[in-house]
Amino acid sequence: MAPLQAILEKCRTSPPNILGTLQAVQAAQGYVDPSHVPLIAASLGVTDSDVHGVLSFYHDLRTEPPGKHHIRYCLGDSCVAMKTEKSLAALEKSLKCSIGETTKDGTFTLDKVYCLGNCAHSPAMMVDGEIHGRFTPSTVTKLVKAGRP
Amino acid sequence: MKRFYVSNDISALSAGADRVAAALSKKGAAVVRTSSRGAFFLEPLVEMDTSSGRVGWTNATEKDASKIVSGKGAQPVDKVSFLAKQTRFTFARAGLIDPLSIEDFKSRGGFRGLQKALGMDPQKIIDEMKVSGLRGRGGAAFPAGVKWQTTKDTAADQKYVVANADEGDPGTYSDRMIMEGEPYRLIEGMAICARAVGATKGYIYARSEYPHAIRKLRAAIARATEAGWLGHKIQGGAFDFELEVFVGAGAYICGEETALLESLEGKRGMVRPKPPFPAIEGLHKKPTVVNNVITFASAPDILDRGGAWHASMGTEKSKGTMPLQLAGCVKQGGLVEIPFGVTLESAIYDFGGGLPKGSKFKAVQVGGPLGSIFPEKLLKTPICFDEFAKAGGILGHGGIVVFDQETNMVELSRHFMEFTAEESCGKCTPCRVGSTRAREILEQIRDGQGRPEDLETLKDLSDTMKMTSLCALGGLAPYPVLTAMQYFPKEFERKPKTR
Amino acid sequence: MDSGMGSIKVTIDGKQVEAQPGETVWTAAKRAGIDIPYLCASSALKPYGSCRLCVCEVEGARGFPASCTTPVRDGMVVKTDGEQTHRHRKNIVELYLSEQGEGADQLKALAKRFGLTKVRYRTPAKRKYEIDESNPFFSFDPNSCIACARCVRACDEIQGTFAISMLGRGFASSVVAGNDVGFAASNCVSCGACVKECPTDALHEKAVAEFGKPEYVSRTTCAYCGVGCNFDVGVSKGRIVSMRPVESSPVNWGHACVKGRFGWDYIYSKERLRTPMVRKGDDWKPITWDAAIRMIADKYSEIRAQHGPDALAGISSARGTNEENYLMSRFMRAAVGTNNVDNCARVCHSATVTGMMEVFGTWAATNSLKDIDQAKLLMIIGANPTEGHPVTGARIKRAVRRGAKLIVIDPRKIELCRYADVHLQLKAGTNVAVFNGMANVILEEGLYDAEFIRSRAENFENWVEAVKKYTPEKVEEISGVPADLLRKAARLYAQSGASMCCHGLGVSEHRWGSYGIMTMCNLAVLTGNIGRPGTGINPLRGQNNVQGSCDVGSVPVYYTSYQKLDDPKVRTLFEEITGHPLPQRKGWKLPEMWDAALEGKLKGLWVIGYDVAQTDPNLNKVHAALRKLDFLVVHDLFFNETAKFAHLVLPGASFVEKDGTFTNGERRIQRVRKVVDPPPGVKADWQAICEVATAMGTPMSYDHPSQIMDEIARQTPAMRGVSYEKLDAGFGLQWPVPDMAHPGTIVMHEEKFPRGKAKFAPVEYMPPGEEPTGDYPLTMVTGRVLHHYNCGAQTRHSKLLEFVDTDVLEIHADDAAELGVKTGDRALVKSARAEVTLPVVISDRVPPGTVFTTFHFPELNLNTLLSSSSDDLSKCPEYKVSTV
Ligand SMILES: Nc1nc2c(c(=O)[nH]1)N[C@H]1C(S)=C(S)[C@@H](COP(=O)(O)OP(=O)(O)OC[C@H]3O[C@@H](n4cnc5c(=O)[nH]c(N)nc54)[C@H](O)[C@@H]3O)O[C@H]1N2
Ligand SMILES: Nc1nc2c(c(=O)[nH]1)N[C@H]1C(S)=C(S)[C@@H](COP(=O)(O)OP(=O)(O)OC[C@H]3O[C@@H](n4cnc5c(=O)[nH]c(N)nc54)[C@H](O)[C@@H]3O)O[C@H]1N2
Ligand SMILES: Cc1cc2nc3c(=O)[nH]c(=O)nc-3n(C[C@H](O)[C@H](O)[C@H](O)COP(=O)(O)O)c2cc1C
Ligand code: SF4
Ligand code: SF4
Ligand code: SF4
Ligand code: SF4
Ligand code: SF4
Ligand code: FES
Ligand code: FES
Ligand SMILES: [Mo]
Repeated sequence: MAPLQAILEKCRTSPPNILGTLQAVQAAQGYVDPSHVPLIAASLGVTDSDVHGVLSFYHDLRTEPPGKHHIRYCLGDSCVAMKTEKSLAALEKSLKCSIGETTKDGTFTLDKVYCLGNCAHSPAMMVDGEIHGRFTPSTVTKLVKAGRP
Repeated sequence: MKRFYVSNDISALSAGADRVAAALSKKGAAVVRTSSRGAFFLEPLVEMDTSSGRVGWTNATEKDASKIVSGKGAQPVDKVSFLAKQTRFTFARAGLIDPLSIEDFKSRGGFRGLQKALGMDPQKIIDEMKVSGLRGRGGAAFPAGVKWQTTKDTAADQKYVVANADEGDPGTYSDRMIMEGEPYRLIEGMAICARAVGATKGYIYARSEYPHAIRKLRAAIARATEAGWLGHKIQGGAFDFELEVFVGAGAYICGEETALLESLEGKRGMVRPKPPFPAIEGLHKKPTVVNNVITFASAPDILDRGGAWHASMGTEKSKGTMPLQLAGCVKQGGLVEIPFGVTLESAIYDFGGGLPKGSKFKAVQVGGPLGSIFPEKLLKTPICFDEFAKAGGILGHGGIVVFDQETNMVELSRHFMEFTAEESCGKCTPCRVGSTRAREILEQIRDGQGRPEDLETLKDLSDTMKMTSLCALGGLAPYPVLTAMQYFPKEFERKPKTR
Repeated sequence: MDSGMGSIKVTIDGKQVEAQPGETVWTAAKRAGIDIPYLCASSALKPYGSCRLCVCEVEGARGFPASCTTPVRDGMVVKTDGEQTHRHRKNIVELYLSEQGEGADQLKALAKRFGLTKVRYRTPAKRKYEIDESNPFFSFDPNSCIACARCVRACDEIQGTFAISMLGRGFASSVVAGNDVGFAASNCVSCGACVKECPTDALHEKAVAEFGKPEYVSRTTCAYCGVGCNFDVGVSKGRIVSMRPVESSPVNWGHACVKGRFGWDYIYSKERLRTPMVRKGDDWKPITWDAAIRMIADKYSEIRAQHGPDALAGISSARGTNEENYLMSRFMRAAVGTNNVDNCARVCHSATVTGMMEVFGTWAATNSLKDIDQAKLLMIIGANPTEGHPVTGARIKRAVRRGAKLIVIDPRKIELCRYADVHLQLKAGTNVAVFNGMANVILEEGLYDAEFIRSRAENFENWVEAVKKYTPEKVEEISGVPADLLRKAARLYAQSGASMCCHGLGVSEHRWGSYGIMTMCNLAVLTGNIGRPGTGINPLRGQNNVQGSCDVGSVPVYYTSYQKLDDPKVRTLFEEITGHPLPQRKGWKLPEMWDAALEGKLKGLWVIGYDVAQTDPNLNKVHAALRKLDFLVVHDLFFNETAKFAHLVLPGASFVEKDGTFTNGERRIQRVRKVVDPPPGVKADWQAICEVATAMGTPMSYDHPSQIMDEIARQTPAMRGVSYEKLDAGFGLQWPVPDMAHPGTIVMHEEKFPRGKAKFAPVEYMPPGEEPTGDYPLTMVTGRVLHHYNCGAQTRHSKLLEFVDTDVLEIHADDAAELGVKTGDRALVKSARAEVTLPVVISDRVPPGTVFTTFHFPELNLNTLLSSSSDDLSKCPEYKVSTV
């Protein structure tokens, strides 16, 4: 069975849960290929537009393949209070990629989030699920690249 | 052999707790990973048992490993004034237990509330909640007992209990601490609620930004089920309650309870008009209690010690304690659980230790990105729902973010409006279009293109957003901007730059 | 008005308003005539609260709640026109205008109302989207969209197709069709519900854009299917530009389907017949109406003189009005002197009539469309309402969303199966076994209504014997329906409390069609699911006026409302009115006419609005019969297939070009109104019939069709209380209407059946006319698609053609693999009678062993494949089973 079909098989609940299914697809494939929407819809017994509508609503759901490493950079209020935009500018410059983009070589995807709950150590970011805080414009890039060629 | 306690809360990890724990292990020490005290400015905090209580090494690094293993240089943790001055019950076990150990949890009073509830008439449980005066900690401060009563009184073949663990307000992390540090407390509170209202199925809607919390919750649910605290015939009785974690997908609006329910159903997180209220028509149109994590986490102690005990804390209309979360430009960031009534100034200075060297206080925002901006002169405001309302602010989920003198209030206001514009669900016009228009105006002002009449337009628009938005996102979004304009008017009057 | 009224009192703008609990301030105010501005609310949709224009002030409440989502409370005091309210509204319209380029007209009108002269925002970001012109009938311009989701909600809540969704979030929210493929390529069925709801013309009708906004509207009834939807026809500069469904209609509750809503454009087709034409060898020569009428009168008189009146026949159109059908029957009976008159109902639901006559003594739906809203369970048998009766289909889906249970009995996986609790996927032609099997389970498990059977039915014991052997296991052998599913369906049907059957051609168009109907009726009697709201046996009648054409006597063996031809009272009245005796020999039914023609007994035929040369079965035979006729008149809107055999062709007037009435599938007689003049040279069909009769020396003349209706009412007991005046007063009348004071009948047989007690009909299962063999291994089922209508003469001359331009053969992947065909191939399909070539589509709608196709495109000659096999009793053709 094709991997997509195997994932969809597991997601067939009653009533169907579109978001949960899209998350499962993304977890397995890294993103949701928009051309798979009809297959996903058919599997759930809902319409294409229902799936498309959900896919377009949530910031987490991506329709293009992500980079190898995922940076979730916090632009929440506490981090803003700690001048995080300066570190962000430094990071964007060294990665040559802005929020919402993937580096040309496909190594990093830089996404923004509003708060990681690490506000007591703002500014904060998460790289591949690993939390970082209290970085500065001069340390941020090193943290991101450490162990990630 | 000595045992050392090192937190695995993400804010401790961010400060290097993993590295310290590894260094200690390498030295042959037994390390137990626990929740965090919430005194994050002290993390990594390594603790050790002594006959006179816990002692600890603050801001430990790998280099301190030898010293720590030798047991030297520690100070009593209870004496740390940041902690000593707090009144903790929701976070009483913070930093003391292994988050996933049911034994640890039970040895410190865990599941006593639920055990009691299992033997009680459901109405008695709700009565106890009403006596406690507990108001929701998610922002709207609605009396929890009244909500539970409504769901209990609505007949249906299926009812649900949903924990709002979306904790969307930047600058807050108390829900996260419970989920990571003491997941059984949340489970216990939800089970008590389910038993009271007659629900058999529960969900924890957790934000995707908290992967650690999600992992721990899932593990805790599995263990609690195995131990008979969840699932079929709980503790051998007739009560069934199944619990599941559902993960959000990056949408602030899904913290709003009706959007949350839509999202939990797998749909677009669009706000529903109320009525019908979720307590009557919630998940899949069935009666559903939606409460904040902290609200649920307060229930076990209320059941265990009695509603009257809870009601004896706090102020007339704000009973109990409030877990405040100090963030932004403060020296001592962390969780502060105190009875209502303490002033904002005390929170920032007595607990937060004021601002770091080189920084001067400029403003503080309480209650998340929709909360008002308070200047120095409002620091005497006591922290409670009503006093805050009187002062034109909200307490929200208890987030306190301090800004220093370098903060550009126009840019900050623009940031808030951008947040609203990006997080607006898009259902209602004042918020959907208004937030973008307001952001544009602030952008123009920031860039020196502002005109006096733009401020008038902004005020007029803000009023329409406040008064006519469908939910509180659009309805509160103007507050930080309007208060910034009110208290820092000069910054908004900058003349066009001449260059 | 309603009994619940007045239980709540609210004060709105100082006015005392009575309201119902649960309703909103907005609906209460609207009823009281208080004009609250709004954009996103709709009385057809659930409260939503997007635009915030309807905000008001409520005493004691904070802020400005939206009146459209705020429920009324007793004693509530509301102010809708305060100064602050006004300012907020103005600001909101300003926000809307700030994001649009030109600004929708509706927004500009609101700006004017609130005194907004200038948008204060400088260089605001605008909406920037491509316009979607893909649908032939409407466009979507997202730049004028206000993201109110009325369209999305209409598609979900009214139509139940879920073809569109809101897209993205926040400022840039818009609407997306399907997987962002545009309306035409999505699963949108073009019902137009979204277009109707759109408050800004972001969704707008292309015809209106091209020809102008309607200057006035006129109300009429759709002339496609038997649902009989009510429409307001919009006219601009003498041309029809729109047909919009009527909100308050009990038939279509503001809804429509693509054919009625948009597929009327054939009336402006260049190919419409515009003048009578006579055959000259292979050529056609236009002649005057006078000459044409003279010609029919002469030919008919001649044939009658030579061969007697029974050598002549008339086929009247179930697409035409009651008045026209009555006149055709009167013409044949009085002017010609024969009962040889029939109509298209013969090939459609005649078996339903025969079957229901046997059990109940009735010949029409026992309940009404409204009952769908009340039923607790719907059993849809051999009908595909989401394509054949789309508005009823949407209503059924809505009922299911409300919580009604659904059983589908159909060999195919039709759309409704998706929502069904049980789908019994039987082999085509095995209805009798399945119904007997369900009865067996109900009897076995004691789920029947003993009291109802005792007081209202007869022949119970005999019948019980007959169904004993139909155990679920045996039925599984015959029909392929798993025994457990059959049990489940039987239990659900018997125990719901109010089970309603709606059936279609999948029951009637069979070798044993009448028996299928009887066994279905048995179930209703057995469980007491008849004579109450939300129950009954309800054929989804096919053409707009099949019900009516039979009611008014266009049938060879009965007079109006199935009165016997030898009833002395009927004969006396007929003679009194027409001056001629009522002929006594029973006339030929349609298929019998073809036999008579081939035998040389039938010489002359006048066919109105019925393309027998395409839609009757076993076409080679029909064509041969047509060729044998001495004189064939075809009277139609278009030069259809039958016209090719004609000697004389007459142009007909379409439904918007004449007055009259249609009777829909729930016995509702409804007005059809002349909205525009027919094309020059075309006259109303009824006038032509009168003129021919007059020319034959039997004068018939009426100033207006209302007089014809009065004449029908006199002779028709069930319609005695019908008059145009009464019909015009509301949404028509549902017969029986026994006298002038009677309001019509929603639910029939509440106390007794026309035949007294219902009679259980013991019927054995018998196999269909053909069963698969080595040479012809597949069972072919024929039916319809949404976008085309029967012979297709109308829909193929409409932009509907852009959706579907051919019939196709739907085949299961397994069979396709065996035969080595794939989607896109053209397959040669052979039956014992003929062979045709059809494009193949592999589909999981059909089970292995069964293929499905439609009959809308004449060039494919599909019906040559079919046999002349028909229902034993009614002569309804076996369209549903042949082997290929
Ligand atoms: N779009 C559109 N609408 C129409 C028409 C049209 O041509 N196009 N025509 C109108 C007319 S004249 C009529 S009569 C109606 C007809 O409308 P329906 O009664 O819905 O007729 P069909 O679509 O021909 O067939 C209905 C179903 O019967 C099923 N069937 C076939 N054999 C069997 C069987 O043995 N048992 C059971 N239980 N089911 C079986 C078929 O699979 C099919 O799904 O529609 C009317 N409405
Ligand atoms: N294979 C197969 N064949 C079938 C069926 C099937 O299921 N399968 N179903 C059968 C059924 S149920 C039916 S009802 C028949 C329907 O078959 P038909 O009655 O032949 O088809 P229609 O398209 O309804 O209409 C016939 C003609 O009426 C004309 N007409 C419409 N309105 C008017 C009017 O006001 N005045 C005049 N003078 N003419 C008008 C149209 O132009 C068209 O040419 O087909 C039958 N044939
Ligand atoms: C825009 C918006 C965001 C919200 N976000 C959260 C949230 O992240 N967590 C939460 O508990 N409540 C949030 N709420 C409040 C919830 O709607 C709801 O009032 C709460 O979950 C009820 O629980 P409580 O009574 O225990 O506070 C939010 C409300 C709004 C309007
Ligand atoms: S740690 Fe908290 S306050 Fe700080 S930036 Fe992150 S979310 Fe905001
Ligand atoms: S205020 Fe904003 S978030 Fe709330 S319903 Fe309106 S558009 Fe959605
Ligand atoms: S035309 Fe009908 S089916 Fe198509 S999108 Fe609009 S409402 Fe839905
Ligand atoms: S297309 Fe029309 S109905 Fe649909 S959201 Fe836009 S304005 Fe509303
Ligand atoms: S459902 Fe039938 S009557 Fe109604 S619009 Fe469609 S074709 Fe016409
Ligand atoms: S605001 Fe950045 S982590 Fe909370
Ligand atoms: S009409 Fe009430 S919010 Fe739009
Ligand atoms: Mo038909």
